[in-house]
Amino acid sequence: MNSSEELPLGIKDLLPSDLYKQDYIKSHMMKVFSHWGYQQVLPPLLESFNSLKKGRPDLVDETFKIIDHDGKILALRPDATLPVIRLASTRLAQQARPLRLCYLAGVFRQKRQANFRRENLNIGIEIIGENNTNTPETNQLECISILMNSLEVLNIQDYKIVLSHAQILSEILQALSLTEHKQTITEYISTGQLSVLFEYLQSNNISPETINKLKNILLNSTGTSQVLSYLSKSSSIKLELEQILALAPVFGEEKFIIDFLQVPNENFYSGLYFKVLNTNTKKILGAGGRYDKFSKESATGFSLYIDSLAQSVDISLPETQETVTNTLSPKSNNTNDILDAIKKQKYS
Amino acid sequence: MLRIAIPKGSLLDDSKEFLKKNNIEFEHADRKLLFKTNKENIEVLIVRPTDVAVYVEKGAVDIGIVGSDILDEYDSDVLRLCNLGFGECSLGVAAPQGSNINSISDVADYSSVASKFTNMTSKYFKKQGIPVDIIGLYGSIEIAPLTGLSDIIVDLVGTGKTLRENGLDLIETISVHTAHLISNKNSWQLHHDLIRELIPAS
Repeated sequence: MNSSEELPLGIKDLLPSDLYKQDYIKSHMMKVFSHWGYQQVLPPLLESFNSLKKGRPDLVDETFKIIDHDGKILALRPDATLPVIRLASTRLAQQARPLRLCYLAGVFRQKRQANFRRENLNIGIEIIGENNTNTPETNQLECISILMNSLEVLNIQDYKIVLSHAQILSEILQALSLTEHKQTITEYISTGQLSVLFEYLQSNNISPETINKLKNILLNSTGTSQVLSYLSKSSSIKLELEQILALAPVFGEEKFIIDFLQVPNENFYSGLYFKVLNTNTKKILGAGGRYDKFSKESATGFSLYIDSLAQSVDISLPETQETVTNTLSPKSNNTNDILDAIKKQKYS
Repeated sequence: MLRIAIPKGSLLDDSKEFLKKNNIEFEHADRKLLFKTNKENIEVLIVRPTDVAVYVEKGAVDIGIVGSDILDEYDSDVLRLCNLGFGECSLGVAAPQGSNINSISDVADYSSVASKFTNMTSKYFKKQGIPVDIIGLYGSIEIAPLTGLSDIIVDLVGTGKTLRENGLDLIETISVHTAHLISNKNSWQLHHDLIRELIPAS
């Protein structure tokens, strides 16, 4: 192949079979969203880099940047939630709350691995704001319910939702009087360096008893509802997570795992955080949570990755003879035959 | 099904011993790489040390045993569950005997440094504020100064015998490394009970 015809790394063309699956997923999910009263929006592909930098400093390095004619920097959106929240707080600021929005949007990220997919199509919802009966807690339940309802409609059964909470670690560290070390501990946990964390605590003269307590919690707090016993009885986080676990009878048992070690980005998520795993491939299907801090009113949402869903959905492009034979085929190339064929072919 | 990757080479025997202590045993045949074990739901894979972290990060394998040198060098996105204590070695800077380079402060700007661990080497010299040219090699680093390929080297040092035999002296230890038990982050959530059992109480 001529090198000028090569695609840049990490992006691809979509072929009819890809798009067939994509349309299937999109139409089924949008039906579910619409059934729950969500309206579709689509923010532009380009956003101002400055607003991105303020909202998601963690995504700055991964964002594709474009220089505008006046020298200002534009960002190719690395995430769909951010522009939807912007839309909610500007042009839709006066609309009744909660605002229920859904989207299908491509997002772009540069990864350190060159062969990583850099263009991804996300589909998701945001529920923003509250009223008398739709409290932030109801909104969270609504959000998880729509997520599970969507997977049900796509007939994806082999999945787990891994729940955690942005404040869990603070609560645990406070109980162990380790708040002073919170930043370092959070960093070690979010980068998965548990063994390094315990060595760090030892070298900072933390008592072996406290280290063992923390170790016991961190290593054992992944699993079913039992792990919630590591939180105090009056913990509001515990109540929040128990409310979500109570959805089991509606959408099927054993769909939830709790994991205290799953630390979300604290700059963005303020409360509930979850990700969805395909239990066969162990791949992430999507993620979501609550981000009041960023939206300045209560907001919860999720985003699923169309590519990962496509690998989990068992459908493929039907080999319809119809589409192949139903093409313009005049008897000869004389004008009358061509016109006859076109008349026959016309869609009505 | 739980898949465990253990590294070929110096950590292999201790890794097998670790599994044995956890009642996981398999017949080691030389050319085979994937082994069934006495436990129906556990398989063992033997691969190069650098590849253990890759298999675990990508989720092809659930957990693995690997030196922390590899984890630090490749910045692997895995869960480091615990320090297993065995296989201790250190990453150090070594210079030719009689070269007048007796400590890090003797290293001249733009010296050439040969190493397998180019990322950690680069990080270390940046921290020291010394600009260096790093030459990435895959093996036999000790020979680089002898042949004039580099001024100094950064390599793993066990007893220091190999260094001395090649006319080199250790001038600085950068970091100390041991074998670690690691897990794929998603596997930890999906197979928590099976993996948790393997973490030694301390």
